[in-house]
Amino acid sequence: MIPELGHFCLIIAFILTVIPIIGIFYRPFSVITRGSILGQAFFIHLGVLALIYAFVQDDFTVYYVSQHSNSALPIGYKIAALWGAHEGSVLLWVWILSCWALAISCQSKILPKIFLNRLLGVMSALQMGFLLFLLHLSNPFIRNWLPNIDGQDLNPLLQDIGLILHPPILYAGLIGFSVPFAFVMALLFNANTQKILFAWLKPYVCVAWCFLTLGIILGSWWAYYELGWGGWWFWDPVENASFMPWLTGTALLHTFGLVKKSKKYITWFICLSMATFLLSLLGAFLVRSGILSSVHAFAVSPERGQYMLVFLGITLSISLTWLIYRLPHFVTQKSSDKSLAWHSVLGLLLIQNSLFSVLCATVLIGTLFPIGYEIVTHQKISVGFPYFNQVFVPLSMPLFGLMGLLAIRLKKETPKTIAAIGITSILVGFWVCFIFPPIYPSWGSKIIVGLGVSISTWLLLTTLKILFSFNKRYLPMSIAHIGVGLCILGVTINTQYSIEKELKIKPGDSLVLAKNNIHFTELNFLEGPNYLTYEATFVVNNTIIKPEKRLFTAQFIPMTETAMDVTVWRDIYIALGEKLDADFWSARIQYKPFVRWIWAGGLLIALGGIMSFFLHRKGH
Amino acid sequence: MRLMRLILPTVIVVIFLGFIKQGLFLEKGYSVPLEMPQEVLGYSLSQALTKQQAVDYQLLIQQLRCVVCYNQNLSESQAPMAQDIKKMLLEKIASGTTKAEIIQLMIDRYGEFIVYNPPFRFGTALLWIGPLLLLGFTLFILQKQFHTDKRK
Repeated sequence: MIPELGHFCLIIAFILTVIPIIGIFYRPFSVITRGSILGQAFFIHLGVLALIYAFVQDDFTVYYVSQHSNSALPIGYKIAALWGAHEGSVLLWVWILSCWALAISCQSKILPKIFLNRLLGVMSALQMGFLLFLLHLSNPFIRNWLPNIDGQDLNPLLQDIGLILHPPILYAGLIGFSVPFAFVMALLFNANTQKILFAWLKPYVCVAWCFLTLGIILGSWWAYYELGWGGWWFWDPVENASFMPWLTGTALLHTFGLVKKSKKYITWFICLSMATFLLSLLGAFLVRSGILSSVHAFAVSPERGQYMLVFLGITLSISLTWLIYRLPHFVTQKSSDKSLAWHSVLGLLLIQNSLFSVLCATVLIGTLFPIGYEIVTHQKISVGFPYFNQVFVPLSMPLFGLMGLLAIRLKKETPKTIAAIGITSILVGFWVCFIFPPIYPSWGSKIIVGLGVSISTWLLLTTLKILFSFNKRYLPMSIAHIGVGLCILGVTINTQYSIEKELKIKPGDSLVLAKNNIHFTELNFLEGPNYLTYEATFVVNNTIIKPEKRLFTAQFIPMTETAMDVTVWRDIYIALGEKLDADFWSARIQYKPFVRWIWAGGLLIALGGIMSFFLHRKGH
Repeated sequence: MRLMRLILPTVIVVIFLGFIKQGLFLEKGYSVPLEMPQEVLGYSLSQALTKQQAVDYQLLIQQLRCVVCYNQNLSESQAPMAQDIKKMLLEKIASGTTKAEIIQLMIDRYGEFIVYNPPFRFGTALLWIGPLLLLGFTLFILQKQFHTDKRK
């Protein structure tokens, strides 16, 4: 009964989405726009609760629950299993979109009524598309008429704190960019835009961007300890799908400064907002269609892929047509006549924006190229890790240089100071790459270390100069930019100094890895709530860590549970491999210097965003 | 005040250098591990290969795809097939085959799908030159922007 009620609630929500859409064109309907948004949110929440109820009650007559839960599953995972597979994650998507729409309609006092109704209308149109997708092609409430005694288990890879946190946070970010999208769509109706509108939008972009940043960091961290090979970024299509909106979103966040200064950048702002959300949609399509092979891809179904493609196509064509149709009204506005030098703050922001777009286009080309190539030549091709390292990384270097320059320009430093900081950072880079040669000390590797360390030093020094000016306005920006600096340092050193050993090892063995004493003491066979496990005990410099090899009994899936000895400077990362013979196991033991700095930097970036949000709110 | 300006950055730089030094090894170079269990592949990289060969091997297993996995390279893959290929690569490298030859051999055997950075030729030109063209185009537009503004 409850699942049917949940299903029905979603249908009501779907019907309610029609009202705000009509309200855009037919004024009398717009009176109930906000009410309808409230209603949608209410019914979608009920639907989500109904599914959670089905999971908690182990209602295995519901097909989705029977496929992705199990009576032995801990309760936290049962709830998180809601978004553990395709259908539920579409529900999560719809749910978060309704939350964003609700947030808008509650925080809209300063918006003109007519603008708000258009904004909510566009949001509802998007919601309608997703609800249709949910109800038609990925309904989580469908019954299983031959009920199982017990459910198939949740995919063991997902039984982890990472699963509980990563999807909702990432989605909150991706879907959050529907707000600027709907905003610019509504903005295009009327060329006489007011600056107050942009001031209203900024916190939303800030929050969405923070969520996206956090989501990406969490995803990277989760992949690092859960997939068992110790990588934190692989330029996988799914990773790229979340990284592209992040790139344009970051550019968007920096455009507010431009828009505030001059109206002629509004067009650029509109394009960026549209691109960001469309890239989020493209990501959803790539992940759900199975068109690209990826470690993280969802269950594949051509119908769903087609729907997402059609939805993406319709959204793209409507928004582009609307943009092209209305753009002349914006361009004819008289632009300000101030001259613009490239090294002014505004000019640097503009260059930064363009570079971000180029970077995003690069990732887009790299991600979509195999698809296009296969269509044209019927041959498969791979574009991955080495390609992006060779193309994306050099292209991103000027950006980091500019970041430092921007920080300095804000304080109006003399060229002498700039040169001094520049030379210092290059010296630091050289010092590191020659005194501490990388693991495989080829020239390429040395140059990468030198460049990476120089750039992060440059960023840190220039940003610290801003930070020590103790100006509250620059605080969020300094924090975020310091985060970028630390992140670059972590990435450089981690990629060039990591040591990886795949060893044949038995209890009692010991080894020395990069001056760390590692001792394999014992191996035990244990039983967990829904798995059996071999638990190894390693002693790393007096710390005990226990990597495991688990066998999840519901579907007999083996899983590697890695273990790490963590310090600020390095991780010793141990993943148990296969049982080789009576005594020996294979184990992958890695020394990963500075790996925590990557995520620490990422967290600082997100923290900068959050601070900016609060400072902005206070400013109101 | 002026002294402050000099001292503060110096202190920061020194602390920063200390950080990196602390994080990497305490002394120059690397100590060769005295006791090390056998590696799964039966080779110890440092013993069987010259430095250049070790570099080549690392690059190879990073840019070659594991044929049986979804999207992993050989370095990451735990699949038995990947282990076999890695073993073969090691033997090839140790016997003096160059990196380019091995890549060509792998492409002949498995098709271009096997390498993560497709070789540059007519069909893949867009992939490699596209970003650069975009960068050039963007810079051109930007330069124009600054130019016209100056003229006003």
